[in-house]
Amino acid sequence: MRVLVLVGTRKGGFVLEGDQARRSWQLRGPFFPGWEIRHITHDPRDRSLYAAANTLTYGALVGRSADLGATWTHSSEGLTYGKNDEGPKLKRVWHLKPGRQAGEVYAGVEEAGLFHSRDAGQSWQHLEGLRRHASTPTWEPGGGGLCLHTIVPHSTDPLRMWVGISAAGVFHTADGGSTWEAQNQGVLAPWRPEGSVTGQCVHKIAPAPSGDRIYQQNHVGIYRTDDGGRTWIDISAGLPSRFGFCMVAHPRDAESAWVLPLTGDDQRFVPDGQVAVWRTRDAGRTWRRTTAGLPSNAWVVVLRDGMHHDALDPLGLYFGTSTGQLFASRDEGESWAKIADHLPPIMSVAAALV
Amino acid sequence: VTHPVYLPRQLRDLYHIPAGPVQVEATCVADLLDALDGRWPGMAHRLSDASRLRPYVLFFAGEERCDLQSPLPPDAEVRIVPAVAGG
Repeated sequence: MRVLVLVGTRKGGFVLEGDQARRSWQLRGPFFPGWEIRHITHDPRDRSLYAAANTLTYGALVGRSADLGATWTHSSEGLTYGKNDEGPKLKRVWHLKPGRQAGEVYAGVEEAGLFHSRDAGQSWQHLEGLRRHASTPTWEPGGGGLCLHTIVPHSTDPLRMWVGISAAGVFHTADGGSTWEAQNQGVLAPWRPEGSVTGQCVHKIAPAPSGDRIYQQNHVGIYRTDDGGRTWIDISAGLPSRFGFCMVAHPRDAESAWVLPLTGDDQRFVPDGQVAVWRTRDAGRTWRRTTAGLPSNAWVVVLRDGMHHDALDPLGLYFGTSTGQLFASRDEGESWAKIADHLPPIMSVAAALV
Repeated sequence: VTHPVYLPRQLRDLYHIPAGPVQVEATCVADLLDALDGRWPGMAHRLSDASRLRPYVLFFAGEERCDLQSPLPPDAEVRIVPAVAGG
């Protein structure tokens, strides 16, 4: 068994391939050189990789590799909002998520919307139900754009799914995407009138391994829901900042999650120049800081898809900075080591076992 | 009429096309996109969206800048040039 760390950067995609001990790493890439790779994901059913590739000049596409990144095909057929000059424009693909069926993939895009492929990314269809939500005309972009950046299928119910949109909030469907409900109760949005149902600036949602628990890193706080998003509980107490982009939930322990706080929101680097990962083991009631192996005097940023985990035991964690360093932990975040450097700005990190 | 068409490097890389012009039969830019797309599926969407050339893609027939509806003079070389932007 090998561990792949899939790294999307502003100038192409890379793969770090490690042994099961996670001590030795080999870097491959770049693939799609010069393209901004917002996200790479692995579909374990057919061992394919999907990459969200974008350029200002040539638009957005989704790449697919059937050989773990050695060669790629690509398509953007159907990845468009069409010819309506007044309508939204598809600027980027931000996030990809394999669906339940073989060859099924979802894509979250900017301007915010959800697309679906049933043929392994060869063609795409817009799932129009989301943009029919009554709040759509009021959606405002976050600093990164009006993007659908996270897709979370329910662990058992094929009809249920959550998406995160900056800065519109979390939305949930219980009917396979035909209709959607905003689920932001309890989440602050100080730039909106009090009680606003949408307009929350979700940065990342991370589902716990079972049930209806989801963690959220928001622009203005860290939250947890235990009822599938109907209500959110503020779990920011004990952290040095309410601001950050990434959040990772343990795939086997619903009580454990990690964040990497940034000084918010006008500075957006790690507090005091000390890179630190914070873990909760009690669903956000308390947090513990880890800096072992992480640099000081380092004024770095980790973006919303910049941290991920593998599935080994103990869990491996990985994060990449917008200055091109990649860090790994083999012990669930207790200690860290830099496993790559001098990469282009890292936009996404995802780990897979192959 | 066949035109020599110079594609930008990033597109040649994407489709594994060797350096140098490709020969394409077309009478206008829209035809040219269709012909390119027939040989390299998806290329038209890299160069245009929603029935317009993408804003950072410039087409020249000889020394004349073209839009999607422009006819191509019979002897014109076509150069597709990405705008220089970004870091």
